[in-house]
Amino acid sequence: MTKLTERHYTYWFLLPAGIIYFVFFLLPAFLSFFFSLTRWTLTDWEFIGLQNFITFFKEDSLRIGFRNTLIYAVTTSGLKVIIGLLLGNALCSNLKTRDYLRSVVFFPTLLSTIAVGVAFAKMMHPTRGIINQGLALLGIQGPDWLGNIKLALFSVALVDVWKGVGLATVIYIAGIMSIPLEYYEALQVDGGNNWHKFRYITLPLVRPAMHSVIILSFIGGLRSFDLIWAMTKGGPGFATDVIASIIYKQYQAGFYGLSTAGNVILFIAVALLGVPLYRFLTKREVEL
Amino acid sequence: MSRSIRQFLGEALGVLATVVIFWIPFYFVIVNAMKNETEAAALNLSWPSEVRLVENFKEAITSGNHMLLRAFYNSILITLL
Repeated sequence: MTKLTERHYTYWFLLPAGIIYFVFFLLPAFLSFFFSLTRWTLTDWEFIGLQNFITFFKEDSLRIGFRNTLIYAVTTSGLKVIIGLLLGNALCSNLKTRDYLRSVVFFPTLLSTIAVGVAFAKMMHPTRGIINQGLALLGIQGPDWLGNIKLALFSVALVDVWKGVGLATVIYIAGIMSIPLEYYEALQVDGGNNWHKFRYITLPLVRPAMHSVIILSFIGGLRSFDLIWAMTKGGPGFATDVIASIIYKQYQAGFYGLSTAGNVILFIAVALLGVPLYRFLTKREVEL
Repeated sequence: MSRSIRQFLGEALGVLATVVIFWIPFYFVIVNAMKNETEAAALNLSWPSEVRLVENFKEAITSGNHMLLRAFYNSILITLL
């Protein structure tokens, strides 16, 4: 009897949430692992072992998708981390236009990804698009942003950065604001300049924020789909196809087992890259 | 003195950058929402010959059996759940 009163609540209270979690999250996850090993037509399935995974890696387009996903994730994540840090640092100094700049940098985050993709695809039109028209005014012959096989993926990545850098900046600003002002005062007493402030105080102490930005933007980059679909639908050819868009195309074509296998591969890739990255980053954090 | 001038130039540059990077795409979308189909297809920034903001919005909302209103309702429902 005493044992019951020691606890605040009985474990039965966990049951409703547990059932919902099991039915809507754990069960589908395990089912998808299972169906990735089958030839699946929604009503009927046949066990074929690892055949789906072998097909997935044998097909050229799928390998390209894998490579593109990595390129896309590294490019967007890297640019967001660097540009976000510079913007966050600049927007924490006492500029007169600071509040204006902060809100403008954040505002693309509020827009719908599809709308941004459609608008930018129009602006990147090789001859009539306003980006190339603007470059022509400066005497520069603008490239075919979305039609050039080598450039298309980076054009989409650039739009992703345009849209996502605001969120990174906000995380950085929060991180920089939490650094005690005494450190900066101490540095001023010792005669340090602005560069020293950035290099020896902001940079080491903003690490936790930087790690959040790296993890969030990298995993977001690996899973990205909507912007790519809105801008290029994976084209030209397979130049901007990523794993998510390939899975979608396979699913549309009715290869349910194959696309589920693709999803499992994407999950494994995110876990294999994300978990060690997270471990590596948290080990290097310093206490404030 | 030179310090305050430098700060002013820096801020002016920052504001100019936001105009090019953020306001022009925004203006592009708004101004093209006011054009008729042929003018919008030109994809440029010029002011429309006739402002069709209300007509275009009316068309967007009523097209596909008021699809847009239904979509907004769905979005709100998903957000609240």
